[in-house]
Amino acid sequence: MRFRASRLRRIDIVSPLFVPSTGRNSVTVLFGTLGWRPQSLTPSIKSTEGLERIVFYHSAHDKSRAARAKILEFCDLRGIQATPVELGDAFNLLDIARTIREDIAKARGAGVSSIRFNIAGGTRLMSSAALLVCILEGIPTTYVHDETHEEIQLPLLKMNYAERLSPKQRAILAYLVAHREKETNETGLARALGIHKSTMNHHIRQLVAKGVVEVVPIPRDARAHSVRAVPGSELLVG
Amino acid sequence: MARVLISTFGFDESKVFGALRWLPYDRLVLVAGPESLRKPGFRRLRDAERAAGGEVEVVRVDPFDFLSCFEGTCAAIERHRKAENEVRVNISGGTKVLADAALLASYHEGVPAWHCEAEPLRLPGLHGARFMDSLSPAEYAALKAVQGPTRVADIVELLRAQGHGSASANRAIVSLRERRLLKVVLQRGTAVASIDPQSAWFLRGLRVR
Repeated sequence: MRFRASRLRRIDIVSPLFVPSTGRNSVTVLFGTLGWRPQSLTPSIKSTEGLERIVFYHSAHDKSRAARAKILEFCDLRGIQATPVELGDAFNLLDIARTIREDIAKARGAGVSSIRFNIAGGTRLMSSAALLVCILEGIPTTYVHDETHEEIQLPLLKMNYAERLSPKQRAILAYLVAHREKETNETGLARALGIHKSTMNHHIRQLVAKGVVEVVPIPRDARAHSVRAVPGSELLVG
Repeated sequence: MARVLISTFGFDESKVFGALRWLPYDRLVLVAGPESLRKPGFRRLRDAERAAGGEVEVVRVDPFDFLSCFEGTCAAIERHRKAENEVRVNISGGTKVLADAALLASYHEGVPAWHCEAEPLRLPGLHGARFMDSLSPAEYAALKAVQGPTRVADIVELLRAQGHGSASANRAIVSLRERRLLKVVLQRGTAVASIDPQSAWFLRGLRVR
C-alpha cells in the first residue's frame, strides 16, 4: 500500500543533533537510504573516518523497520548516534528529495562540515532521490555492490543549475515556484516582476527550452496560456 | 531529427510500456542485462515495436554493476546525440543500480530523465547542462594534461603555455583533487598528480581520458 505524501512520517532532525558531541570541530555525518538489508549501509558506517552520526531514510515496511533496528543496534555498539527517518511514501521521488535536501541544509546550517551519502538501500525512488540531491548539493556519494558489499565512490560533481540561469530567469522561476498554486500568465508575470512583456516572453521561451517551465493552455479560454514551474524545479533554485 | 527514448529494463515490460505511452518517441533503446533479454517481457516489447514498424536497439550491461550500466547508458546517449537525435532517458525499469546509473548518465550528459509509473515524472534538471560544463577551462586542461603520474609543476607549466595563469592552474588542480578526480601525493618532496583510480571510470564517461 502506498501512502500519500502528506502522511510522510519522519523524526524531525533538529539542529542541536548536529552539534559535535566530542567537542571536535569536524563532524562527519553519514546519510543513507535503507531497504531491507542492513548490509547495504553497514560498509559505509565501518569505512567512514571520524563518523559521529548517521541519518538514514527507510520505508514503513516491516522488513525495513527490522533493518532499521539492526542498524540502530550496530551504531549503538559503536557509540554512533543514529537518526532513522521513516518515509510515509517511499515511492514519491520529489517529496523524498525535498526531505533529504532540507535535512542536509539543517546539518550544514548546524556547522557539519563533512557529509557522505550512501545511496545503495531503499526503494529505487529513494535511491534516485538521494542521488539527485547529492548531484545538486555536491555531496560525496557511495554505492555498495549488492553481492560483494564493496563500496563504490562516485566522483564529487556538483551541478549548480541556478548558475546556468540568468538572474532574471532565476527570479521568474523562483516566483513561479513560490506562487505554484496561483494561475499565472506572461502578462501577470511581467507585471509582478517589473519586466517588459516582450522581454518576459523571451525569458519564458528560454526557460521552456531548458525544461524547467511549461506553458499550458487554459481550458476556459482557448487563447490564454498559463505559465508554471515544472514539478521539482524548486530543487533547482535551491 | 528522431526522438530517441533510452529506457532501463529489467523483467517487467509494463514499466517500459508506461513510458512509451507518455513520452513520444521514434526509436526505442533498451539498456538491460543479458538475463532480461531472454525473458518474455523483452519479446513482448520487441514484438510490439516490430508491429509498429520499428526495431528495439539493445544495450547490454551488467545490471548489478554500476560502472557497466553508467558506461552503457552514456555511450547510447552520446551515439544518438551525435546523430542529432533528441534523447530522453526513462529510468523506470531494471535494477536499482541500473536506474541510478542511468540517472547519473542523463545528468552527466544533460538529457532529460523521466520516471514513468502511474504518471510520468520528469526529474528536475536543465536541458543541455552537462557535468562537463561544470569544469572550468583550466580544470579540463589539467585533466587532459595528466597522463599517468605527472608532476604538478609540469601541469602548471603546460597550462601556462596554453594561456592559463599560474593561480588559475593551481586552483584547478586543488579543485580537481577536492572533487576526487585527481589524486595528489608527495614523492620525495615533489607533488605528483594522477587520475584518482576511483574516478577513472567516470572520466572515461566524460570522454576526458
